[in-house]
Amino acid sequence: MKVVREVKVKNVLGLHIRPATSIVRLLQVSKSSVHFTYKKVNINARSIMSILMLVAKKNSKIIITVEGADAIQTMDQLMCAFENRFGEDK
Amino acid sequence: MEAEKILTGVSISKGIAIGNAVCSKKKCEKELVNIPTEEIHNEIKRFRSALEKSKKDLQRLREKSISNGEIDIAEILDSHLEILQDPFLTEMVESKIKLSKQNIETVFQVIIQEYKKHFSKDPIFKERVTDFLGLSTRIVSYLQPIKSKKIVFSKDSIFVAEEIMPVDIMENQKKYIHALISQEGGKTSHSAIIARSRGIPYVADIDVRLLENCQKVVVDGNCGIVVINPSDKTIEKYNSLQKELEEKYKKLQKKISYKNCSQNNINVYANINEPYDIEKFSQQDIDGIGLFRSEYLLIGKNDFLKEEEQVNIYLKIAEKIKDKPFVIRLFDLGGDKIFKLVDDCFSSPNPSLGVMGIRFLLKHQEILRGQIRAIIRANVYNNIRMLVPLVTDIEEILELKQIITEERENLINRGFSISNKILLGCMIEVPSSAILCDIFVKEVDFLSIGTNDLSQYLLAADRNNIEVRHLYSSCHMAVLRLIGSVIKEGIKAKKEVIICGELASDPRLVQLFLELGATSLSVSCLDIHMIKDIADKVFLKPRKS
Repeated sequence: MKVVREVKVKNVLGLHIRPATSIVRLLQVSKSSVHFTYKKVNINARSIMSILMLVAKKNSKIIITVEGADAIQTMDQLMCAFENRFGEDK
Repeated sequence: MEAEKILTGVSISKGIAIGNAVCSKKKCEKELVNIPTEEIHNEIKRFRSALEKSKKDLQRLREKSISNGEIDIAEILDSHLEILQDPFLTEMVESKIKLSKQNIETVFQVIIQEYKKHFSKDPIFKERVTDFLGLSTRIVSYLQPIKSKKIVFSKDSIFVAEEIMPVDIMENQKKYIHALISQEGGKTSHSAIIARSRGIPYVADIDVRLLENCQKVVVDGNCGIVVINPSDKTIEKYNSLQKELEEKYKKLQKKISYKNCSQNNINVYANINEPYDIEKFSQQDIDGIGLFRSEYLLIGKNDFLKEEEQVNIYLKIAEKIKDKPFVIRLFDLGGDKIFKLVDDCFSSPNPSLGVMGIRFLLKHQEILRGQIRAIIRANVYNNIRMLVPLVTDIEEILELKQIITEERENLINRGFSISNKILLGCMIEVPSSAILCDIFVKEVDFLSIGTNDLSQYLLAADRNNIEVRHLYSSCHMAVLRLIGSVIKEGIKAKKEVIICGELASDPRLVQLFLELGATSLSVSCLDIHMIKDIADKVFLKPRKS
């Protein structure tokens, strides 16, 4: 199962260290492979340093590709986390 | 003995400290160290074991932070732990060791340089490299058989480094590190947050090379100044200043009997300059917006905002915080706030004593009336309050109230249904209104003490003038006593008094303000967590007296 979605970064400071930590933690229970693509760079979303290396600021659009048994659930959780700004600010 | 030298930097964390400079060793630009192929396996083993030790270290620190109630710090450590466990990073290090046949220290240096280059384009991300740098130092330190690299701190050390890593502060107790000096570093870095919450004076933007060979240093975090090779006279001056401050706090606290405050009855509001700022914190964290500096809406604009535009802006913010108060300060123009729009009005030789605040607005009533109408119309959720800047005379309030009544009727005549009454507040930021606050408080619904301007006008000291800045920033007794009397009048009249300005976010003063009876502090977004945390702790430990 493969799911691809585009998501917008809503956090004011972009995908900085705290959201990146949340992403990595969230994926610890997922069984799927997860990749982010931003500005033609493709990275493994399980790597906090790779996420930081994207230097994705607020309003950047990131393409998320999830592949694996629990792809849909994983994607839902990710979308929800992005939407809620990783619980950071509203 | 070398001559005394004063270096001006940026204040990151307040306070004064005198001590001995301890410079972190220069980042050792070691030569590249190649290793033979048969050693690669051992080198990787060495790396993994250092990684494990570092992890345990961080976990220990994290637990300590949690048990100390330092949640902010624990969160930072959580991120650091994730970095250490990053499979990409460990893979990269290991493959680099294999490919380049170089030792870990060398590989790390290369990787750090790469990260630095990558993040340097963005100021916020750049600060995160510091975190990584700290981690790599930790890992590398475990690679050494003897920990010779650790810097030894004595009782009155002042830590000097090109960059201060969060771990540098976290691991050393305050009794060892008296102050921090760095070349790089901003107010929002993790190190800055930790320094402020621990009350360690910190000045950045200092050329640290100048400190390499000096011993005695004075760090004045209030003014953002570092004095190297201070003369006896300077040391004496700062010693007595420090003592004076400490005694002041003690005395004041002794004098004031502890009020029966139950936990959480303190409001910590946020100051915002632009609507965008509201995104910087989560709603649960604040009790409202204590100061919206509406004049910031005008920066870069060629025209004053139309009534409609203002309604939209105010309404959006009010909607976001709904049941919490949203204090809009009327356009505060003049003094040091010179905008393109009104440039011509401030050609007077002494703008800080000229036409500004409410004086300006009463002179330019079309601007004032437009803003008042916008605020009344935006008050759909009944949470907006209006705050009047730089009031010196009660007549100004009375005139304003008349205008508000007129504009209200004006709107009703225009067909708007307006039922909600807007609470009106008066800024107490010049000595006259502070002294007469018992009269002012009767005419308004709340008071807001602007400690920056109040200090400036009370002490006749310009906060931007280095020569007199020490007066401005040393929490002069006159300022504190006056603040105390305003709070008292507020309590008497059963009206809220909000403390704004820099003193409100001074961690050393929170307890004092609370004991004086303050119930509301309005602080910058950066300091909300810290102030809330301190306020809670104060309340948990009621003093016997």
